[in-house]
Amino acid sequence: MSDVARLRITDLARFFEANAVRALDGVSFTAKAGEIIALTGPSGCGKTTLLSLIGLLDRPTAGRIEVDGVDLATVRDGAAFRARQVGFVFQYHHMVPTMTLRENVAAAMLPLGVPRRARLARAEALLHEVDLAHRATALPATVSGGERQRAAVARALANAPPVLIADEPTGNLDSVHGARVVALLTAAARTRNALVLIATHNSEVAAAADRRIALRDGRVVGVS
Amino acid sequence: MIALRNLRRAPARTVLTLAGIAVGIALFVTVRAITTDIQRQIADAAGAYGLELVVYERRATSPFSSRIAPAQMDSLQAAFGEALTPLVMGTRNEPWNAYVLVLGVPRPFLPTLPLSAGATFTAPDDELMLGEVLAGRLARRIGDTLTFDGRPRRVVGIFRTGSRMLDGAVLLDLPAAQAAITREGADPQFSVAILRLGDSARVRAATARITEEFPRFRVVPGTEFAGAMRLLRVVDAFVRTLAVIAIGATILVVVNTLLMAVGERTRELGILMAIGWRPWHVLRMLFAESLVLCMSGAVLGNLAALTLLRAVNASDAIGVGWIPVRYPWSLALTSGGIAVLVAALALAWPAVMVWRVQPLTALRHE
Repeated sequence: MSDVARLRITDLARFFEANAVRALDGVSFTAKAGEIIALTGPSGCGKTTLLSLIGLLDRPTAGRIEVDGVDLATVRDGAAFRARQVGFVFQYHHMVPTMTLRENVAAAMLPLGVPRRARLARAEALLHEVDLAHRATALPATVSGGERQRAAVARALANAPPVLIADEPTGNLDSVHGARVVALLTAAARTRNALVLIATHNSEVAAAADRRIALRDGRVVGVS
Repeated sequence: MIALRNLRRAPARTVLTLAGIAVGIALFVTVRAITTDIQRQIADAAGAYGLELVVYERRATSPFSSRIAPAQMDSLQAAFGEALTPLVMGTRNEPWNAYVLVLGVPRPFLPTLPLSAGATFTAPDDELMLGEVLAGRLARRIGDTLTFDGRPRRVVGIFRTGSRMLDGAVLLDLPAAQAAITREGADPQFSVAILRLGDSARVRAATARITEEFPRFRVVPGTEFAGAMRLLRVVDAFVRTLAVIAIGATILVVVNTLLMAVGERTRELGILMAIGWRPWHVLRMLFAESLVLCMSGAVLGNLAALTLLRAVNASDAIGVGWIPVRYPWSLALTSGGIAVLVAALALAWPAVMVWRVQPLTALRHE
């Protein structure tokens, strides 16, 4: 694990409905490359909002987010940032149903201009890493939930992003498949030196993290 | 493959869209094929005989409605001598064909006709000649009899000009043709006069002279005769309008399909944008679907047009030789180009929707 801060969040706030709803308010923390951080807390505490801001799917009302020293407020091209710097794993896998698993993984490399053949070859290799090489040409609807989520991890790793964001990645999985997904995310942090941020309700997933940041009503209420 | 899978998601909608595109393309190809071919047939017929100039009544909408009185034709003949040939052109409704093209030519003109069988007239009142297309359609050979204008006539010659229009005609001696197409009680008249002059200087001089001395007539080069016909110009304008409407309707059909696709797949678009796709990446995917739809529709439309052309051509109501038998490959290419254009234009409105998609909102879309 590197000592350099990969992610620095300072006084982050996100308000909705004319500031009536304070999804995040005064959140600050730093995280290092190769670290696994679990964001815990009840539903509506701001975990998903925080991940959306870090992934540049949304913009903060106030505060500052830096990834590898770059202030995200200065990033104009959100799409390019997401393609290069962030890998997403969503709770409901969010695969495109008309693309095969291989095509779904390869789709992540399209914005970087990777040639089609190279995209598909790398997608095959990534699916092999998550033990899905035999399902590469299957459509998402024809594989199990656990396999879909492993494919989603492969897609998140496609561009070797420095930050992996996983929003309730085991929320719809049984404990066996959930453990496999967590193991893959852990491996990504350890072998690829990626910062892994996991929003979870699952205490076993949280226990597997290096640090746990507890949120309540949009504020950090504990770090362990 | 991804485009095909996306199109298979809503098979009924895809089939209806394909049908809409096919109808639009079929309409375009059919009407365009008919009008361009008729114009080409007329131009070919004029060009085949080296007709440098065609003289016809200024107010006439077509050579069939042009009327030149014998006295006027005499004046023209006096001015241009043997270079001028009077012609009679018209149509008749016969029991064996509702739209028979009738040609009447003077005897000196007959040797210029290439015969594929038989000879020219020896007893013009009881004889006729048939174009090769018409003879084949009616299964008539030399020596057979065909009732025309109420009397049986012997087929003495079968000619082939290379123009399907002319080769679908009945050819008579000039007075017999005048009698056949002149209304009862009316004076026999001519339709047009053609001029074969030999060199461009004489053609220019003749054009100037007719324009100056015979203001009741219009003179046009033989190769431009089809374009100069007012009726064909009107038909051409109508066809172009129809084509634009057909293409416009086709675009609307495809736009509707793509808008529904964008609406239904908002969450998928959100996923793709969340992993870094830009709107134009999404549009590229939609364009592939649009292109598959439009090109498939174009293929079906061309097949439908081909079938329609064959059916129309087989119909006696239209007239033998008027409608193209051969499929116009150039129009197939044109319709392919139109399909690509439709595929691209139909993307304009969906593109606006895609540009408005916010990944975070789209991911929450149900």
